[in-house]
Amino acid sequence: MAMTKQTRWLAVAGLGLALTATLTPLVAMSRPNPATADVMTTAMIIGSVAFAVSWLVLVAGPVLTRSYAEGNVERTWLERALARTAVDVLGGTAAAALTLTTNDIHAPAGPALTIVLAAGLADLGLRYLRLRQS
Amino acid sequence: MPIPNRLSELRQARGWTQRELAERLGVSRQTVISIERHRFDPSIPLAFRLAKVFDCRIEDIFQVDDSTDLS
Repeated sequence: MAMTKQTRWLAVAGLGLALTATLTPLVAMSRPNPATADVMTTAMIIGSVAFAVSWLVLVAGPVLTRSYAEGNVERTWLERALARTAVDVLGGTAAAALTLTTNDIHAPAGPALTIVLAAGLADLGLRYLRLRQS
Repeated sequence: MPIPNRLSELRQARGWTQRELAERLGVSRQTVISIERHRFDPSIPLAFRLAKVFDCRIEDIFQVDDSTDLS
């Protein structure tokens, strides 16, 4: 039976949550006495990737990976969104690196990279949706 | 600026839904919707597929003349 748009998005949320809830404790427990901040960072990394993978598999995959994917408008939206996200991430990372360096601020690498990853994925998602709505 | 086209008119003349046309072309329904609404220009291979599906020339689907904005 074909999934409706609503059930497909619910499945994305469910799969993303399930992957995050399953993998986060496993990864967090691989460290002795993990701090709450470490667990939160791990959850954000895994969550960002889990939701992105769920979206790719359940929503975009059937369209983007079919034999004639390049003819689909979704592929064009994704390519445009990726190009703009790359510029955002590069610009944002450069600005952040410059700020940290000039102000002699020492940020922990894990959370900092997690923020870049999560912000990049969120930016990509929002840009894709904006192109879809336009 | 997408090129004006007669896709919706041609599709409806054959009594096809957007989903049926998308399946015949091997693309997503959203792609058909975007072309019909003049929001997306198809690739050259897709334009040829459209011509084949409708058994006509590409110029019969997409209307380009001296006043068409191709920028």
